[in-house]
Amino acid sequence: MEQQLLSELSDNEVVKLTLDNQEIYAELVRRYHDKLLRYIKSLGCRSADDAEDVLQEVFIKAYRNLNDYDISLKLSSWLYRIAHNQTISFFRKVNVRPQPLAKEEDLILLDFIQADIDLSADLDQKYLADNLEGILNKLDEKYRRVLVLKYLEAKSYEEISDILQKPLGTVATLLNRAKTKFKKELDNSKINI
Amino acid sequence: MMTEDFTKDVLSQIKDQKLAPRPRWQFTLKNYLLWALVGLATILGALAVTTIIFILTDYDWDVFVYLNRSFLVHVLMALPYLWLASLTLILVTIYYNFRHTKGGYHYEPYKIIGLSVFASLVLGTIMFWCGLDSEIHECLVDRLPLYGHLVQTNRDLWIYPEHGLLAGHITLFNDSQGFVFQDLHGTVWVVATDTQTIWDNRLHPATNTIIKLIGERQDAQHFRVRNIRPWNNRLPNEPMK
Repeated sequence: MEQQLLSELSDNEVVKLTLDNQEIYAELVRRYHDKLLRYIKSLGCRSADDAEDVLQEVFIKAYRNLNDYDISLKLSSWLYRIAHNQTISFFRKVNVRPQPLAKEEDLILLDFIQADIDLSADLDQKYLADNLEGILNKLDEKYRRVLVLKYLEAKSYEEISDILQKPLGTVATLLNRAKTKFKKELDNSKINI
Repeated sequence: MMTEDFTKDVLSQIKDQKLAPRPRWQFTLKNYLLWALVGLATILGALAVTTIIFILTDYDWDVFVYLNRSFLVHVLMALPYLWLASLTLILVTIYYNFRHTKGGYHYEPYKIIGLSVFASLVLGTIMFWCGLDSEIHECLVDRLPLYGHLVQTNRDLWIYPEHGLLAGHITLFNDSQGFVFQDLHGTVWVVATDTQTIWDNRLHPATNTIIKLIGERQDAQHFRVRNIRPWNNRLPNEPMK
């Protein structure tokens, strides 16, 4: 019953209540568990155990810093930012490179990128699906991250700016370059068949 | 179910480790400290700018011919590298701290750097017009011996009697024939003037007036002067420090 009432509250209201009663924090964990876990994995943390560990650190860090949350931001942007930074720290700590996206994520990303950029109509869809992983892996991390936020997480430019803590103009430039590089890598891969 | 287990885990960790949200004042303080550092660095940037303006406007750009060096070498020797490097470091500090304030990331780097340069230039120019430039420079020269070695200043041009360049103060003034003069190294000279000697019209020569001389050394104690300038290129006179 209580959980049902809490689920009707906005994120900011839940944050306020959490500051008085830590039990209520469970509601925020429930709301963002799946989204943040998917995001951490899409950043290249492929092991389920590692991703869960990182996610746990994210929620604990968010709880410790709850008073730093700026209500002018979306709570989701603030949590994604913590998740982003924590995942990058994880890669540095264990000294591993981010792993490629999973096949199903590749395909989701492909659908959105195709809808957004002008790929030639006669492009062989099977070829594209088969080679997408290789093409994406050739992109710089910074470009892959921004593509993931825009197309897999469906974030707006403002949200990406708040998550990556970069100015709006820089986000727009990164996205444009990411799409251009994607097209270029696609063309190169066709030449190399 | 998995989410529920995870949620319980997170909450039990929070309880077991007795974690609590850090108080709001810590974040507010951190933000104020960042802004204070931005402000402090901007003031330091203004000090750097005003000293750079001082060094460049105080420099005698025309005396390179007496020193047997090209104008390019003269310019390269005059540039205040120490201050330019300091200013660069200060601008980086401003950028870094501003970028880490709440919402600082919304601004493009060129806007932050541009605004910092603009603020340093405006404040530095105000300090220059208030006369703080020479005060700061002289204070550093007097108190930090290393500073004097690192920064080429106008003083370094006027210590070459063999090239006909001297600076110092008048110790005894005799209007018709010349004056007795003590240079920056403490050497006393008998300076001869004649009708060909050009006195800068800003000068009102008297004992203790600090001046610069262009002429010829005749021997270890005698100097014939052709051109006399005030020590300070902007002010007509300045009492000896």
